[in-house]
Formats: sequence, structure tokens, C-alpha cells
Amino acid sequence: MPTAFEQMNQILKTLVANTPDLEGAATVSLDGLVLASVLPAGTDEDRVSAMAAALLSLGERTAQELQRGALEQVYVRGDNGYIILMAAGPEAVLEVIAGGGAKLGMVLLDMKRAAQEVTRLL
Amino acid sequence: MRAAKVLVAGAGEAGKSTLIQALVPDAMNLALRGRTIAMDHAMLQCNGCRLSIVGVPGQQRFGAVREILAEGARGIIWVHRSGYSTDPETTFLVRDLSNNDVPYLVLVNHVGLVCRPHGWARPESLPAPTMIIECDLEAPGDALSILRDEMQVLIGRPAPLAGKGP
Repeated sequence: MPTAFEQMNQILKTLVANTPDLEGAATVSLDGLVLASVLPAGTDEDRVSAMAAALLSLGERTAQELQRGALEQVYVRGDNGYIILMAAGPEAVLEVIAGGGAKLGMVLLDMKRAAQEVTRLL
Repeated sequence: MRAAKVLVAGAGEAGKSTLIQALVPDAMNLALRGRTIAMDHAMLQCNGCRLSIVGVPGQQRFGAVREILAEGARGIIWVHRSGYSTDPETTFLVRDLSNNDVPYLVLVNHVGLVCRPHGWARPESLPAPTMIIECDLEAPGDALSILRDEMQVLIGRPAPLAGKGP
């Protein structure tokens, strides 16, 4: 029986393998600690996880301040692609990085499924 | 009038958010289970000055967030928890800003217990703070009014020379 960590890693690997243009994924606790990751070599996952938690926290408060309801996603677009954060249950965040050519609808759909699986695990 | 940014820095659980809440009770605190994750923020009118008080997360892993929030700071309040030694993360942050002539003061927080010595010692890489204030932030007494006055001075003058002052 695989551990929860192994199962989470497998969810991320499947997500990255099955979604075109997805370059990496990680699950992060709300206080900024990495739970599992499949990120490109050379990525400082501790640093990225802390920043993801900070972004999510700011996003939640901004959505509240501007009466946009509960936060669903944080979306960052750079010259080379996207970073998308999505809540995975009340305790974790799913973060993905995607290339500039990614089909966002497909990415979001696959993320949603993965986030549901992560939520069940936690 | 553009607000001057004052950074509130220090190790985790030193009392940074407690200080900001004491200064501005409705300050924003982005925290989880008592630990600041992103930032604290409050606007403070202080003897005619408009200050933007920004609290940074103290945990080591939030270094990148600290660097971003530190940009453009005009002064720093270094909150130090009494009984602990000088924290290296805050030393690096204050040193980087001091290199650009940003002055800092130290607020030693005696959390329910007065410790002697309080443990904060000026690192060699830093100039002297403009002031060291000691109090218990749970019952700060007149320390907050001293701090408000000093903040106004802090943003209006250059950093002191290394090795001088307290």
C-alpha cells in the first residue's frame, strides 16, 4: 500500500505527464511547506512553496476586499508561460507551471481533477 | 502626500504582528495559525507623517517574500524577542537596507518575562540602531508613543555611522 506521500507524488506525475505543455507541479501546505513536487531540475522548491503560500494568502484577502467571494485560482502570466495556483482542500494548494502555448482550459480541468484527488488524500 | 514605508522585521514569533496590531488595531494580518504567511499592513498617521507599516514574515523560508516587501523601505523596526540571540535572517535584511542608508531601530519585546541580557547585540556588519526600546508588547505602556515619535525621526534622517550610537 503506497504512502500518502507516494500517492500524492503519483497524482502530480500523472498530471504533468497527461497535460500538454505542463512543465511541473507541486502541492504546498497553506503555511508554505512543500508536500510533494514534480518541478524542473534546479527549482528551489522550498522557496517556491513559500512564495505560493504568500500569493494564495494575498489573493484570498484581495478577493475578500473586492467582494469577489472565495478564492478559486491565482493566475500569473509571464513571457515564458503561466503559474497557476488552486486550492486543494482546506489545507493545501496545487501549483502548476505551464509553457506559453498551454491550453488553459485543459490545464484548469486537469488541475481541478488532481486537486480533488489531493483533497481526498489529505 | 506619499506614505513612507516602514518595515517591521524580526525572527518568527518575535512579536512583529503584535506590534502592528498594537499600533493600528484593524491592521491587516495575512496569517495562518498565528504565523504570518505573507505580510502585515497598516497605515498610520504619526505627527503629520503618513506611514505605511509593512510587517514581513519571520520564518526562514519566506526570504523571497521579505526581499520583495523590503523594497523602498525608508526605515526599519527590528522586533527582537528578549532572551534570544540576534537573528541572522533579520541581520541580512537590515544590512542590505542599511547599505542604502535606511536607518533602523530595535524594539526588544520582553514577552511576559524581562530577560537580562536581552540578547540583541549589534552585528559587526550593521551600523548602530537609532534607538533601542524595551517593553512587553502585551502591556507596552508608553513604549508605543516613544516608538511613534522615533518613527517620524527615523524616516527623516540618514543612517548613523557604523560603530557609533547605542
